[in-house]
Amino acid sequence: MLLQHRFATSYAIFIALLCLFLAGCDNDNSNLLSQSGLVYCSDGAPDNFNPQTGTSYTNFDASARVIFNRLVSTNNSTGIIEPALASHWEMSSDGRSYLFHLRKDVNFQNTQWFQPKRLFNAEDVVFSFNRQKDEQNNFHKQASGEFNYYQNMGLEKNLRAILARTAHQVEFQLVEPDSSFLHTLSMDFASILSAEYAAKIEAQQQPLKNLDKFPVGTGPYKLKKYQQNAVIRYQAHENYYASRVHLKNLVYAITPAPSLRYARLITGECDVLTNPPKSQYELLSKNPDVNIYQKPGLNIGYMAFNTDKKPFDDANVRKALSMAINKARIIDTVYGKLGTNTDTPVPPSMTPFHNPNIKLPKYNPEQSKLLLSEAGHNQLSLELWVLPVQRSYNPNGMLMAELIQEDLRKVGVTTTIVSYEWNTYLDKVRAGEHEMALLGWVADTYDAGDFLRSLLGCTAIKAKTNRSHWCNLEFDALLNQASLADNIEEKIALYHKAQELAVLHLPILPIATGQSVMVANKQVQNLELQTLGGVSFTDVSKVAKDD
Amino acid sequence: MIKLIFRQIFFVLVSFTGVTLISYMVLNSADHGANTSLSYWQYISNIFKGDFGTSLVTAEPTINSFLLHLPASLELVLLSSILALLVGLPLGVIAAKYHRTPIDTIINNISITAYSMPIFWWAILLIVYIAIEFQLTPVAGRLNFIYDIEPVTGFMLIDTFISDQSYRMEAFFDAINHLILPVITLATLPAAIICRMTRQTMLTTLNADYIKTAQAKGLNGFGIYWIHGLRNALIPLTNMLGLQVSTLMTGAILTEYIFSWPGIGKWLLDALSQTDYQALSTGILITTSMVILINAVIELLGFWLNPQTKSSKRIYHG
Repeated sequence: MLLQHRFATSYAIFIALLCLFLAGCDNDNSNLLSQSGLVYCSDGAPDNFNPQTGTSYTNFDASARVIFNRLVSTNNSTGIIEPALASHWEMSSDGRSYLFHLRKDVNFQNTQWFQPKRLFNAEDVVFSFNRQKDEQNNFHKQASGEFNYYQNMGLEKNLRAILARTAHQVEFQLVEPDSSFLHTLSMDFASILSAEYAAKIEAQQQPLKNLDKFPVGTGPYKLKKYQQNAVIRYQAHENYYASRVHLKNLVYAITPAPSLRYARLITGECDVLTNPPKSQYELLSKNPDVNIYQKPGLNIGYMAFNTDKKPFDDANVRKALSMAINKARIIDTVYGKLGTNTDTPVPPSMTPFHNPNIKLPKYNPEQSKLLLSEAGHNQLSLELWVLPVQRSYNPNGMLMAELIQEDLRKVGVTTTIVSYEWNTYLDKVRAGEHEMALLGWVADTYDAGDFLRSLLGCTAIKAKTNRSHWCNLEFDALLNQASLADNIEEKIALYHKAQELAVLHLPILPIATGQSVMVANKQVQNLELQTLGGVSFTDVSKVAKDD
Repeated sequence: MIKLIFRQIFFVLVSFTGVTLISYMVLNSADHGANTSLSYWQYISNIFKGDFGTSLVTAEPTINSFLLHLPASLELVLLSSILALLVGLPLGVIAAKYHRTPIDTIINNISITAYSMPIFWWAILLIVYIAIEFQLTPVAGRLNFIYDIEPVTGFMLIDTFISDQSYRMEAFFDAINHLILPVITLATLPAAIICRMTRQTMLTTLNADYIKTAQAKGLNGFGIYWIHGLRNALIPLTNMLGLQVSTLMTGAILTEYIFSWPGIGKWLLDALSQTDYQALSTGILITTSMVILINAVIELLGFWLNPQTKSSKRIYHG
């Protein structure tokens, strides 16, 4: 009997200990570590930590917006260009030269792989741009010359030279004046790298790709460790020039599945996530433990009429079809709270360039029918092309297409819905094979020209971003004047006029602009949505859990 | 005994040849155009040199990433096996002891339910209620992202414990917290099987003559059940448990997938979705060989435990 007791007792003690162990795990909140660190559930892994070669938001979120700074930055609320690494600048009277005066107190990050011996200076600026410009530069060759944004923004042709005038003055010489040049320099690809670090890599004969794999920048956080496809760890840059960084640790937990991002936020493993699907958004908006930050993004979802094809060459037909579509219902059904209506090709979020006085022709099926029969089309059979992917500017293309199909049926137009795999779709649309097509555009700069020129400019037909193939010389002249305009009022007026023209001719039907959404638990403070997309944790801090 | 060991080694070698032949064929039939085809003998000799080829995706030796992911799986499988034994064995003995009483019926019903539950559904049920609804445990992963623990052994419980970070105990408990759901998920099926097998073999053993003799000699209840009964019931049990190793492996792959557990199972599934045949064949080859080896060892253990093959004074022999 004694033996039996001993066995039973030890088993009971073991189980009790196990329970104690498990119970001990509950007191994990309100410790110092989780207050000084923030976990962001990101949706993808970056290919490297270099914003010059990157093209995706995943890359920029992990590099440009944490590790690096640019000469100038865009104010997140006003969209105005502000000093960053450059304290001030002058433009020559012919607009072909910019002289930047650099700050003298900027530290590069002290990392495990590089300890800077000097402060930021003109050499770093010259190196960062020459890497993208100079074909003889070893780091240019190492990246196989793949500097997409540098090329797309026209710098390849327009940037004549970058010269260090003094240790803290850099001159940019342009071939042609460009009123968006400062906006271009605020973009992620214009981030400033350390020339001293690059020289060290070459001198020590390290692999050149180390420059992009183990980055060194001037930004608020420095890279500590990257576990492929799993976790990116950053630490505060203790000598950050612009402000004190509150978070000691910043962690990107790479979580491609939206449902897992959601679950991790709910259970407190992540503090922040972005752009949840509509169903999760609805659940989250009822959750008292999280804050939802949202504002209209700088994007637009639209329907293009291919004006090369009949009957879309007729502005009256385009107008009639636009009037047949019940946009209010589309926005309600497809976007819900994740989108807002826009009546012009420049989204309302892009104040002051958006023209708020323009209204699209009102929804009126009767009038639409009349216009169609006046134009001689009592029986129309059309194709509507649908994007197969979910985007913030169009969360459900197929649903939108079905609603449009039904609306058009009511005015006697038969519509066939056509869809292809995403890359095939884009190729075919670029080739101009479509009739009507659902598409979208996301801005890279805070400039209305970004939308108007890319979507409707004559030159953009050749660049294949103008999918309506509409070319209007008066419209193009307005855009050219705007890019040369001396003051902002003049520029605004010209852009407003251009939007009027676009809505009058309706080569595209602007539908909605998608919301940028960020969800964070209530401990996270000072989180701010970025107007130009992506995330920024520069000023973020955390408070203790109040329970 | 020596003869038996040789027999097992021979059996292992034959199975290993079969497995390598299959993985060699998988590798060569796949149209990936990466490495110029090796002969089978080169393939085998490379394997014995520790060269399993390089991954088609990461361009790293596949054996390195296998070894990197192995500890996570071992940690999960070992703890699940321990839990399954701790729960299944006593329940089985109790059911046998209270044969044909309500206790037996209850245990029987629980084990049948646990036995027939699909692992996917069970895991999601646990996640939805325990992790999301009551927020007692995390939903996935091995450790909260905030903790930066240097992998030394690869076993999270050990690495957090020996870490020099100030938050090491916090991290240690967090690692335990992350283990709860995956371990319960993976242990459920084997626990049910162990419970049912223990009960069955116990009942058979208890009816044997030597037990009756022992009872006639006046041995008390504890001696009968835990020493004579269980010790002898363990013999057929160990053999059957050997067969459960592969069940456990399959379960581990599913469990790792559901809980984003960075072990071999998830690594294999990732390799599959990336059509990385080199990694896939390495993974399959090593895991299959491991199952074969474990089976062989367990079989030897069974022989060693069996009083009919080994004379030992420690065994009560009716």
